[in-house]
Amino acid sequence: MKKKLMKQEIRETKKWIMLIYACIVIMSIVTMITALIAMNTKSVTAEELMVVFLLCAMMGIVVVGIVMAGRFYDLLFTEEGMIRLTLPVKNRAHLQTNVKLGILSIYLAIVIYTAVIGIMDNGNVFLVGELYQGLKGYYEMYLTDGVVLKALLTTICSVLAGAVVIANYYITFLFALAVSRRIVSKHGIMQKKGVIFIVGMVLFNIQLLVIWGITKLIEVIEADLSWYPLRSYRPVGRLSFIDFLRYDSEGIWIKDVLFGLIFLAVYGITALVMYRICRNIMERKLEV
Amino acid sequence: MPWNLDSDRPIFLQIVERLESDIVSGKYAPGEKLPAVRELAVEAAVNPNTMQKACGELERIGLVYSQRTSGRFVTEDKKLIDQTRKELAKKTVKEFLQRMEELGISRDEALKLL
Amino acid sequence: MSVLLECKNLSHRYGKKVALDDVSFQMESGKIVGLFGPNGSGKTTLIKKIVGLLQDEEQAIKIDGDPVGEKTKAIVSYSPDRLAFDGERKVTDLLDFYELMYDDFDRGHAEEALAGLGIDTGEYIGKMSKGTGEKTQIILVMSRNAKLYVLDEPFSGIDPVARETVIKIMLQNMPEDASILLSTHHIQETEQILDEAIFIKDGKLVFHKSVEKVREESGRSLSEAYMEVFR
Repeated sequence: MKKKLMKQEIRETKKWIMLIYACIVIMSIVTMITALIAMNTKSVTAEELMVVFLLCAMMGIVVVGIVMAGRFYDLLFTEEGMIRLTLPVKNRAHLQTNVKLGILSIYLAIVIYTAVIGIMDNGNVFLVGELYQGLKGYYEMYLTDGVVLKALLTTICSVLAGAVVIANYYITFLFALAVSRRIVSKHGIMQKKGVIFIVGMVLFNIQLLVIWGITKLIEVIEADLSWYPLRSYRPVGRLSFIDFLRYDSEGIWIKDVLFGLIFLAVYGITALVMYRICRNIMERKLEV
Repeated sequence: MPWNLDSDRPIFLQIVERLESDIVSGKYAPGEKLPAVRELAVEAAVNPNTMQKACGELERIGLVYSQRTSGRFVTEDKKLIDQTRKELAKKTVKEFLQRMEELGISRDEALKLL
Repeated sequence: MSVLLECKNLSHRYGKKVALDDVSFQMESGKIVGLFGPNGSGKTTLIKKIVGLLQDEEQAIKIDGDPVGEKTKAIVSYSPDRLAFDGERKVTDLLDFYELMYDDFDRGHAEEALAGLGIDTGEYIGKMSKGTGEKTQIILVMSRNAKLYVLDEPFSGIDPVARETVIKIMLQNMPEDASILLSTHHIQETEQILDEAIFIKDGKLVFHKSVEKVREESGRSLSEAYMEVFR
């Protein structure tokens, strides 16, 4: 039954998602073309246009998330939900399906965006290829240093952290919807959209606070690290674990890994907690 | 068209009467197969259970008989049909006279009117 | 006749407002039961409890012996009080949806019934008249081979001819041992097809009788009985 539900959801959303993916590809290509023009002609207009197109391409990623979360909104707040919630599956299956599909389609959007920009950016150093160039940079830097493992670790850590942060944001979306649904049905409030807005804003601000906290924490750790006397003590000889932790000519990688791990932990745990609460609401408290 | 039934008398009796008169009037000829209960219920726009009960009643009276697999058939016993016709006629006359009485018309006066 | 649906001391509240108050009744299989009551009396709440849109934490409802859940949803076919699908869908999309999600859905049957009423499967729901939309929804719901059909206000806002058609669709497509729970305001138009009637007043069940018995015992129609209870 879960597979069928997944199939149904893909069927419902694929038209829109494909359209947005196409938009992302087109916008990314247009961005790079205007970037080339801007570089060759030094035209300010072209440069400004490039920024607009770039934002459009990035917006595409957000819109994918909105479309997918929209399916969850329809489930909880519209007449269509009455049909979908009386399907012979557990209520939480709807949440699971939406989370899986939503996060995957956002990842796919990011991969598409990064790939197109990266391929077009090949060889030139534009700021627009940041994500792609960044990842490539990490890898090359550590590769030329001969420390492949470090490079891999850092890259994996950063990518994972990014992925978890994005998943967290998506789940926050769903969490806001589910909590709003609960508030609306428990207190018989008719202003559904108002409740969603307020809950969404509160959650958004909590998220901002969390990010601010994490950044502060990392600043502290960084400051500590620069005091650490053994930091670039020994050159790479044998790659024992201790050596591996200590050696770093730039002192960046350990920061990146730590940064990644902290993000992974904080965002991962909050995402999990929100998901559990959502699931609980779906299974025991959902009333439409 | 749904059958014209009164909702203040048991539907079951009205269906029996209606089917009786359909058989007597020849709408369903002797030996003819009756439509399935479901079909009749849909035609009359009544509950299938009630229709089932009415058909059962007709069977009990003997106006229809059922063959296990092929359905219900109108009886070929012409005598029984005639008898039912007379009974229905008597009932109608009785109802007519009753109504006349309510209107304050005596039997003789009613006859004259006829 | 076995008991298909059982409600035992069922209550529900929205915030502080009591919507259902200690409702108990049983429904046998093979019966068509009408659910009547003024607006806001708790009909839709009762229906939502039965189909699982409202939580039944006390497990006051048993359908075919099971508490409301995955298992009962597979044998209950539900038509909400409003058209449930947005206008951008075609009839074929809905057929695809029902076919994929319900094992007991008979697509051929549904297509036949739609064709019989001249409803084009390529048509968008949003472009249909309310009556046609309602007919389509009832055909979809009745084309499942379910045990219990729960129809909430299938006649709201449609003309008398369409209403007659919807009643026909119900009678034609209802499997023999299945039951229908029908909530409606059209008491006069539906009382001929009912086995039993339930009246709900301010969340309380105030009347549950066989319709033929009402006529036999009091020589009155169901709508007269209704007027008496609610006047």
